[in-house]
Amino acid sequence: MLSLRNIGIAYNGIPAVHDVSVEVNDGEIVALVGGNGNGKSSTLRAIAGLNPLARGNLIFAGEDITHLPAHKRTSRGICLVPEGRRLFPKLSVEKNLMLGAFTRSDSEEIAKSQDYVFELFPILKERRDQIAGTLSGGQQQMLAIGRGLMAKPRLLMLDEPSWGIAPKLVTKILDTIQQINASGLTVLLVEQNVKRALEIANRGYVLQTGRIALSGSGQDLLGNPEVQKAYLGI
Amino acid sequence: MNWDILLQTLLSGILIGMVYALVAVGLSIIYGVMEIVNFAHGEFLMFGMYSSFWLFTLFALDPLLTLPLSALFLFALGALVYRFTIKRIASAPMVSQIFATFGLMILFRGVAQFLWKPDFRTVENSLVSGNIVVSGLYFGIPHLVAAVGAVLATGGVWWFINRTRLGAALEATAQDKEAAQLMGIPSHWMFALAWGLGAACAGVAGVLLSTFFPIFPEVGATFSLIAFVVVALGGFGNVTGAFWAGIIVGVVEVLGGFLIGPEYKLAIVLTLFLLVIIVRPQGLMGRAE
Repeated sequence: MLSLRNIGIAYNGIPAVHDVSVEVNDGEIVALVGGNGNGKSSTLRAIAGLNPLARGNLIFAGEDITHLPAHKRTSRGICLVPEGRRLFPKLSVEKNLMLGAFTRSDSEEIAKSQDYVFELFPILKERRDQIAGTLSGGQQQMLAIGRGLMAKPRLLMLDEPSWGIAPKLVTKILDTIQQINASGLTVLLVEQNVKRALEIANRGYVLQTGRIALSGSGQDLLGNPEVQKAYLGI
Repeated sequence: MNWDILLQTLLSGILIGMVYALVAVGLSIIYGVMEIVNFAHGEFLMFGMYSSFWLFTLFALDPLLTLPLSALFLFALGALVYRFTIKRIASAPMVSQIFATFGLMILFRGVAQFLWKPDFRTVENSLVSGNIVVSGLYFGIPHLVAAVGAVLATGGVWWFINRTRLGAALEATAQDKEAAQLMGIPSHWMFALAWGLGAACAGVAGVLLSTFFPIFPEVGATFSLIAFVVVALGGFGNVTGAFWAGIIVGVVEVLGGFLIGPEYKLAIVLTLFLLVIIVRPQGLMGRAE
């Protein structure tokens, strides 16, 4: 579905990602793991179109989207739930969800998506009129994922969904991601919680200083001594 | 103290304040979405006034009838200003942005002076003229119509921003441009929309003022100064705040002019501005970041 072919990303001429190639197949959960500042977020932002590529190509659904502006990638089916959630803090829960469906016009289908989001996260239904900025961290993350789902994407990218939320909720969020994936949505996940991410992922890539250090199935990576030493503290 | 006169003054302050509010809403939208201060805002108002004047003088079309046309014209002008000037400096340092909109102000005034001479012009005997007396209080009909028109326009802008999909997209872009892009909202179109809407607000206010205010190339100066005060008072990017702040500024201006002396009107308004900046920099209704 998505291939990153030897992509490089630079900020003001300083390279952050060198020569990264990643494949995401239909229906998979793929995890990008690694410590802070290794280029995981930059890679997701580049796929969403927020960071330009210094080199390489992006292919999505057989089409080269390297030069497509961010807002057009959304209607192609690419959706990023960004790091730090980036909700519209002064707007209500419902309006945030409505904005998630900005590229769609069929109001019946949009209402169905909203029902689906409310089914996944019933708390959002209860709080639909609340201002997004006043929700708790966990609820904000649910809203951010819900807002992403409202675009009815084909590829859902999640950047640090466990960031700043209570440990109990981390499990709930990751379970929901698995549930969303089971319904047929392809997921590309960036997570600092390496263990949990690899547990739910079909495949994973380990990024180190902007390069892919290791890749393999989630189980293989979990069993890999280097991964265990560096990220799992075993 | 004559209470009738005081009440009369208070009411005329409220009426003109409603027009100030509309001008300020336009300024506030542009700032709210792009964080660029538009120093040429008063010139949009000036063009609104002239459009009304020429349509009236050349084609005998009444300002009240040509208002939608002027609004469209100013919307287009605002969007074009974005496309050909502001877009280039959208991510430039603030100083460049200040120079750009300041330069536009000088350009627009120069164009008006060149094309239409620096003379004072007036729209005489339009549909809205004369006075009415309500329980001993005089109201200029043009002032009354301008106030009602301004409130309707401000209400329309509020409705657009808070109740429509496109308005929500504009608001989303103002709150987080990148996140809005992730929703598929094209920032450049939203910026053009903000400039169009902002200019149209000033233009509509200009048309409403044209029936009782002299029209000349520098007319925008006072109004944009007042609009800055209103926006600072109401909190940047806040339509409701701008509305109430406009009325406060109108009342302070007219009442202060009445109590202290009309030549101090602007000084009183600017004193209010300084006080707000010192005491409540986030505006009366703005929240501290």
